[in-house]
Amino acid sequence: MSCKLELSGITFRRGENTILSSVSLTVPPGGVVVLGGRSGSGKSTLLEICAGLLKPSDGRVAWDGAEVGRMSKYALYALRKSLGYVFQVHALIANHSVFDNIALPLRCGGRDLSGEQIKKRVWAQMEELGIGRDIEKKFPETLSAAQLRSVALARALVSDPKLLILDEPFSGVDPFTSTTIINVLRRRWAKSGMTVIMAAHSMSAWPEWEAGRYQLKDGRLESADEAFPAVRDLKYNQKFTYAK
Amino acid sequence: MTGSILRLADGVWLKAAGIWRMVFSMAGLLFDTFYAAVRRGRTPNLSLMSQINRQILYTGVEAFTLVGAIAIMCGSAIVLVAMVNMPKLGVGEYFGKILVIVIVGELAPLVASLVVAGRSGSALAAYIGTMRVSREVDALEVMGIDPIQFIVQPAFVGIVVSVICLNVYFVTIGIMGGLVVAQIATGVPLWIFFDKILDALQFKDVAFTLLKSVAFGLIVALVSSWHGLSVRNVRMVPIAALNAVVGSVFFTLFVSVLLSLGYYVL
Repeated sequence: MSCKLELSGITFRRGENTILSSVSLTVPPGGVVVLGGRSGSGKSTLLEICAGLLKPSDGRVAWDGAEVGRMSKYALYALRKSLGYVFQVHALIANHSVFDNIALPLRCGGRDLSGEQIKKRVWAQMEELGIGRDIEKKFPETLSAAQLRSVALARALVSDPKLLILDEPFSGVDPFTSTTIINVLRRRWAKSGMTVIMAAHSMSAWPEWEAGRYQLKDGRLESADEAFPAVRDLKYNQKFTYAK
Repeated sequence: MTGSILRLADGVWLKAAGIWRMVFSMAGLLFDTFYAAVRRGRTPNLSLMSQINRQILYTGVEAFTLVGAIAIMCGSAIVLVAMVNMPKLGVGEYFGKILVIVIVGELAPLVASLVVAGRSGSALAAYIGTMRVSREVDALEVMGIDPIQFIVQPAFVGIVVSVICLNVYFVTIGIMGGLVVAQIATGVPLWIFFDKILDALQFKDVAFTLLKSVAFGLIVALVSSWHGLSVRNVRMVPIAALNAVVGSVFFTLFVSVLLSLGYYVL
């Protein structure tokens, strides 16, 4: 269950400033891409363009060949049911408990799941990320930064997305939680073969033999890993080894 | 002098164009809200009912005390004034009809919606605005959840239901409370006047006041949601809350005049 993500000639301007300039990138189904770059280099903007939250000034974004910019609002909502997105800020719904936040994509996603099935999936997802059941009734404002990050990731993963977009998933998180998050992400990726695109300050956020690495500099995308195609072939072999 | 007039005309023109754009955009939101309700179809949304219940609790149930107090005060003043002055003016037989027109037809829907606009309209605009700033609206969108279905529709249903309930509550408390106060003040048995009011009350009066409640509830929900969704940064949140109240009050009064004109004159 994966998705091919194609960005071609993406330019994004905000007023006089050009944030992104002719960015092209193809993430193959099941591929992993880590985007590096300094703060304000346009990583988050590029991810939001990938998800169709921002419209590029020029260029096209396609998921499995379907061009996001040409879709109706409702077609895009339907497509996004196969998307998991973790924002740089946690963006949890403030008047929903931890459980309700994680259950949201299952309840509102048009999936015919019973209350019991939803409970099981949410609890399984919480357990996988080490989120204790004792906080399931708590509201986001009472959680620590690491807990917020974990809950946001649980919400993104609970619906088994084909495409996972992560915006600085390790910022403000302690080393233990970071390790848990990366282990869960790699295990899920190896199992389901989802496509992952991640913005991170540290290029070592994902093992280099599994991920393509790119750097955003002055609005342009530069490959930080010249050997990416070769590494990608290796990655597929590694993926199944890892899954076992 | 000519320059000042031109600048003034330019300012008025810009303001008018801004209001026109706002009204047009609100009409778009209203259409989107109804269209999303039609589109929902059989798609289950287990969060919707809890959102509606929450809205009714904040907007309707929690406003009962305030609306009740206003209803007793307004009802007492109107009933006392009518009870004392109408016989002196020789129009005592119209006591019931006048009360029905003033309280049922005009005051109850207006006060109910103004209280809702002041309490919940501002809160709704601030709530939606904060959701935008904290990226909760974007989070809904990336989950494939239409924010209009998730946030705006429950607000519409909750506010309209609340205004209708508060309207009926205002009429009941206003008239009953007014008659009790009048009886204490004048010694005239309240059942005599109560009979007059019941005789004067017709189905069309009830339908009219309910129509007004629905229209005012929609206005408050629409204006508040629109201002909330227009928020782009933290600084705009209090401005949106303020504009939601001002806009709701203005449009409610405007539509009230239009509806009364249509009902009583045309």
